[in-house]
Amino acid sequence: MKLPKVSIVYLLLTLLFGISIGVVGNDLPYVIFKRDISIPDVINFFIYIFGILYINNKISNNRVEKDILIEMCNRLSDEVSESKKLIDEFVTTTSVKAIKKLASQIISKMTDIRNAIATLESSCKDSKKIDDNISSLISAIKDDNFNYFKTSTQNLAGKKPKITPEDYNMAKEHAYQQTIKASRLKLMINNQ
Amino acid sequence: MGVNSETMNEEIIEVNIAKDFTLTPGARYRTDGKFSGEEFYEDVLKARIDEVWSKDNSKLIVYLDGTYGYASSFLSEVSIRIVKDFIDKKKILEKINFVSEKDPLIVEAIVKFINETP
Repeated sequence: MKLPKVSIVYLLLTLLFGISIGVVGNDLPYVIFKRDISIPDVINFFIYIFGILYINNKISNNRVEKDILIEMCNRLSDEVSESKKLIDEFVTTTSVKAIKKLASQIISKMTDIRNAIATLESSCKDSKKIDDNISSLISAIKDDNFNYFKTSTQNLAGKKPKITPEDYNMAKEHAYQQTIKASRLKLMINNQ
Repeated sequence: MGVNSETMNEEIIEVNIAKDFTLTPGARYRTDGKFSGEEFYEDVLKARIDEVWSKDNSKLIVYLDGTYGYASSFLSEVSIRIVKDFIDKKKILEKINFVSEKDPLIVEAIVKFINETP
């Protein structure tokens, strides 16, 4: 490797700068640490250190807990969005075979959504992050989910699976409400 | 074994939809196709409810797990038929325990269907 050429002037200037710092620094008073340390000072020192470590650990655990619950809210929103996509595909499909397949996929997806809500609710209870507001919001999500399940699957299991335009519009609204409420829940958990 | 006398005297009848009826529950009425809610109620459930209804210490447990899922029309029809025949909603919910470990909220849905039935 070839080293860059440095002018002798720069080397002399650097040397002079170093000497001047040394001269100025020599005139400054030295920092002297007291050698006598009292026991209460030592105790205070350790209390501060362990206090900071404890608080830091608690804040970090709390953050992790919140992140897990927020991730569960995201999962709920994702499941609802996927079910909505299946419903959209269902109402635009004409092939009988594809319609039957989509109908059973929608019914199965409803189970996934219910499980996402149940897991979220039990995790909120376990982590003690559930207050009255969060509890009533989860109840409202469950109500929307019940109506979503009712409207979107009531004609799906027969010989000719169908979703009427009226049921489709209601299902769309219930899906939207679940997603909105899941977002509000995320905010509430984050602000806890 | 820590089994109390009350449990020992209690008669429990079980219905497992996946084993005793079908893996693929259908729609509301028989006319809608196979394995409808109407068919399940008339051919499987009603006789079992009759068995436990008049006995003090007997219960019916309906296991919901193991199927490919339920359409709301199936559950709604079963709930409507139970309330229509047995009327007393409080006693219905005491006598019949719906159980699902894999989908616990479906049990809440059935209770809602029963309570919604006029």
